[in-house]
Amino acid sequence: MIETSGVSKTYHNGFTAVRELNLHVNEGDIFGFLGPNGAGKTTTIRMLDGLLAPTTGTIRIAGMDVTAQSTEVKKIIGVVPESHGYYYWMTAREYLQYFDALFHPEKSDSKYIDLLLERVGLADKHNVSVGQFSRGMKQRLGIAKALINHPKIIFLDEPTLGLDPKGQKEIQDLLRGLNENEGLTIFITSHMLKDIEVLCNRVCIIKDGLMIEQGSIRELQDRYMDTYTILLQSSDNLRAVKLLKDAEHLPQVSLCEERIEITCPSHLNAEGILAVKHRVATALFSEGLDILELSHKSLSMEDVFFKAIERGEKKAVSA
Amino acid sequence: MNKAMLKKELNESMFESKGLWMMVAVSVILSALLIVVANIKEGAAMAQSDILQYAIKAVMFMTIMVSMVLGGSCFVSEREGHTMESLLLTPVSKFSLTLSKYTSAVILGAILYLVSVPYIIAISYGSGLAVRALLICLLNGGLLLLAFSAIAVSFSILTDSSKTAILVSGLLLVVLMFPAFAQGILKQSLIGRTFLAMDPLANCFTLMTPLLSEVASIGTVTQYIWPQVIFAALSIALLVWSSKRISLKGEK
Repeated sequence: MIETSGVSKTYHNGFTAVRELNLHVNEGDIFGFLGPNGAGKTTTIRMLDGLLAPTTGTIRIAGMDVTAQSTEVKKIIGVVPESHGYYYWMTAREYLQYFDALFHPEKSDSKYIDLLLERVGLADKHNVSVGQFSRGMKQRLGIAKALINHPKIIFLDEPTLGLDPKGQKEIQDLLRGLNENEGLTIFITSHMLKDIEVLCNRVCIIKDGLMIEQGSIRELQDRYMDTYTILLQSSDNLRAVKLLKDAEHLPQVSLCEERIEITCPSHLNAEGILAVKHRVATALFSEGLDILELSHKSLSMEDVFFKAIERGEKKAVSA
Repeated sequence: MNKAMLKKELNESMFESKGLWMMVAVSVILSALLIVVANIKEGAAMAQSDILQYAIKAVMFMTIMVSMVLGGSCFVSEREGHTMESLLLTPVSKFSLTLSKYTSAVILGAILYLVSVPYIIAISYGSGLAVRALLICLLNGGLLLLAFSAIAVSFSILTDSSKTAILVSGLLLVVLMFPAFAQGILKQSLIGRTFLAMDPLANCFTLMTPLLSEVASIGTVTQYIWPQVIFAALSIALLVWSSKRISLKGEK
C-alpha cells in the first residue's frame, strides 16, 4: 500500500531530515512509525501525504506516485496532523460538512456525516461548537474529518498526545475498529510506545532521519532478545523451584511474584531451549507437580525501542 | 473557485473577524461626516463637489483598509490556527484556495461600497453629481479594491504574520497616496507630473476634481483609468504568483 524507495529530504537550510528511507506498508497494516524527537517522523508523514516533495527517491501509495499524482493520492488518504487546528466557531457538524464540501463539491453526503459522528462518539455533540470540545473530543473529530473522503489509508501524527488514559483508550479502540471492520490501513506515529505495542502489527524505528529497524513487533522482539526466559507457574511454585535447582541443576531459576523464571544460557538455540522445557516438564510431572502456565518472557516495545536507538547510535558512531 | 470555502470565508469575515462591526463603524463614520457637513459652519461653506470628493476618498480609504485587513489575515490565520495543513490535504488547488479567499475580501469591500451608496447620494443630493460620484466609486474604487485586496492576500501568503501583511499593504497604500498631496514646484516638476500620471491613487484623486465640478465629461474616466487598470492587473499577477507559494507555518 505504501512503498518508499531511497527517500531523502534536505531542507533549503541544508538540514537533512530524512535519509534513504525504504518503507514497506501492506494493505490492512497498522504501521507504527517510531523515533525520538527530531527523528524525521513529521517530515516523513508530510512527504507521504504529498505536502512535501522528497529531495530524492520515490513514494508510491496504492501504486500512485505521490509527487506526480498528488491530487489523486489526496483523494484516497486521510490525515490527522500533529498540531491539528480547528475552526472553533464551527459546530462539529459544520466542520465535517465544510471538509465534505471541499472533497465532494458536487454533492454533500449528510448521512455519511451522521455515521462518522456516530462512529467517533460525537453524535450527541454535533451542534456544539468545536471551541467547547475537550482535547480528546477534538482528536476524535479530527479522525472523523480524516475519514470524510472514504480513505484507504489514514496517517496519524501523535494521535494520543496530551490525552488522558481514557482518551487514549478511546482513540485506540476507534482505530482498531476502523482497521478490523473496514480494512483501513493505518500509519501512526506516537511517543506512546504502549499505543504502538497495543495497536500496531508492524513498526519502523528511525533516528536522525535514518531507518534503524523495520518489521513486525514479534520480529523485533526476537531480534533484540538477548536471553530466552521461560515463565512457569506450577501447582506448588516453592517445591518446583527447589526441585529444578537441586535435582535438575538449572542455576538460573528464580521465583518472581507468582511465576518461576528460568533463564536459558545465551548460547542455546531453539532446539536447546525446547530441550530445557522438556526437562523442566518431565521433572515436575515426575514429582506430581502440575504445570498451570508455560510461556516465555518477551521484550516490551519500550525495551525494543531503546535497544534499537542504542544500536542506531553505535552504528552512527562507528560510521 | 471553491464555493464552500468562499461561503466559509464570508461567514468567518462577517461574524468571526468583526466584519460586521467594521460595516457598522463605516456607517457611523459616514453618518458623522454628514452631520459635520450639515451642521458645522466650515463644512456647510464648502462647495458640494469638494465635500463629495472628501466623502468618496473617505469611502475608498475605509473600504480598501477593511479589505486589506481581512485579506492580509486570511492565509496567516490559517497557518497560525494550524488549519492550513488540513486545507492543503484536500484536492482543492492552491490557486482555488487563493481565489476563494481573495473573492471573499473583495466581496466584503463591495458590500462596504454598497453601504456607502446612500451616503454618497445624500451628500450629492440636488447637485446632479450622484451618478458621477457613484461611477468613480464603482470604476476607480472597484479597481483599487481589486488591486489592494490582491496585494494584501499575496502578502498574507508570503509572510508569516498578519501584522506584517497588513502593515506592508497599508504602507504601500500610503506611499501611493503621497504624490496626490504634492504641492507647488514638486507637483509642477517633471518627476511630479510623471508620478501623478502613473500613480493609480493620485491619478484617481486628480480625476475627481474636473469630473465632480462638471468641467470634464463622464468619458474622461476612461482617460484616467489606465494606471488603475495596470495597477490592478499587476496586483492580480502578484496574487497568482504568490498562490504557488502557499506553505505551512515555519516551512519558508
